[in-house]
Amino acid sequence: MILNFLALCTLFATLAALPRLILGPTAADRILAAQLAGTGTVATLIVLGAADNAPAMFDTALVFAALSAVTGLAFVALRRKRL
Amino acid sequence: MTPILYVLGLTLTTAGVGFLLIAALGVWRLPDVMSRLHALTKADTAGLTLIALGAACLTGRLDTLLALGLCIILVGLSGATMGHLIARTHLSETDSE
Amino acid sequence: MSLAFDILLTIGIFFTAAATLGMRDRVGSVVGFVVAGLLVALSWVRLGAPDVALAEAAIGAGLTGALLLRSSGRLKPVERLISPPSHRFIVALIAAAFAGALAWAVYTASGAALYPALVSERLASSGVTNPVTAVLLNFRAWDTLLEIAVLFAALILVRIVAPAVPQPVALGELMLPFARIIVPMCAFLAGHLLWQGASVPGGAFQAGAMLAGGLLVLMLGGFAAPTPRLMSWGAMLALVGLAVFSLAALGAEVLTGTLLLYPDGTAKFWILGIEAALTLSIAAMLCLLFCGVPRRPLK
Repeated sequence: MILNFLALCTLFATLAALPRLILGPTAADRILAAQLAGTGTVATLIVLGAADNAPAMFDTALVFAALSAVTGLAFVALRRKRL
Repeated sequence: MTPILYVLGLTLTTAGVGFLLIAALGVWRLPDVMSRLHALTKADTAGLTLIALGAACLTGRLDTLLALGLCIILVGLSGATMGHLIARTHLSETDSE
Repeated sequence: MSLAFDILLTIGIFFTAAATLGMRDRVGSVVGFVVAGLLVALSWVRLGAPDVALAEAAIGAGLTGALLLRSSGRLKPVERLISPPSHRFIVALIAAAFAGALAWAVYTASGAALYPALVSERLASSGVTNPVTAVLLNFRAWDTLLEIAVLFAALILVRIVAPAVPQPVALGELMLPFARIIVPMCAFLAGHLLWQGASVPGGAFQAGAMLAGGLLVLMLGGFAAPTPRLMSWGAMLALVGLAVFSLAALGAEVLTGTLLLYPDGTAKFWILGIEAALTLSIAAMLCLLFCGVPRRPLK
């Protein structure tokens, strides 16, 4: 079905963060790869929930969204200060 | 679920996934951190909003609108703020070199 | 199509794990760890275990990532590879042998699983309709009690080690509006997860981790500096969960004669009370694991 194909596409978008994670010369590149992976996972869960007609998956997506915000903040706030 | 709602949901979701894929391509191929941040925030705001609205149309139930609406607000807000904070971090690191 | 999804997910998890282990930059490794945690949580969803997916995402990816980042900032930068390639090859061989043995065991397992049938027989009398919550807080409540004790032991170890309190970088004026929306939403989601854990995926651990995430945002944004007074309140809150659970166990023994056997018909209230105390306590414990427990100076 089309929705399963769309879920495959969002998974692909999530995994497309990996090259930037591996290559990214600066730390900011890696942090934004993590942010993309988080958003991609939320999107995958929403599309999977719509495909299987399981609204419980939307609650799971909401929790993932909240935690990716917290994780991103941790990455940014715990940078070692360059003296 | 009426056919109109189904077609609308499918269109919105496809558009959202398209945004997400283009943003992923941008994060992979653009030359600089700042331009990659531009691409990333489009996925967070436009991409996820369209996907969530499409999913709400596809399930056809009004009570899913609360969870999906909160998703949109949360991811949009955190994506925009994270874009700002990551840029700030990057600038402070490159300035001190 | 679902098969293609699962195969792509599996390849992605392997690849991310390999990239995480092979990266020299420590921050990059932690980011890879978080991404791998997210993908593994997605695989839990595909395997039909949304409770585990929630717990993995909240604790495994989010909070453990923050803990690793906090510790990695206090280590020296990676200078060179510590072990020679031959050692790494042997370790890779052992890991591959272990994975192969696991795959063989799963492939040759025969017969239907016993557990789901047993649980669904007794589900009606357990007080909740979510089988995971019923197992965690009614049928195997003893194991959950011991898990909380293990968390508490970890907290005691952190107090002995007494790491320095993390100093977050000043993040500017955008943090205040951001925190004003995120922190109440985290608290709201925690309560929502706690309440709905009785019937759909959720429960005390996930709610506690969500609440801990909200408190972490407060701490990292610079709004709640970990003063000793605040941290001793946190330590007391951490004790509350273990205390309430133990008191409930002993109370159940007094009322029905067996440890942790809830009286008939009231199981739902016992479970909800224990879960509420557990949520607050787990949130406090995770936050204290992150920022360290204050040690009073010896006089």
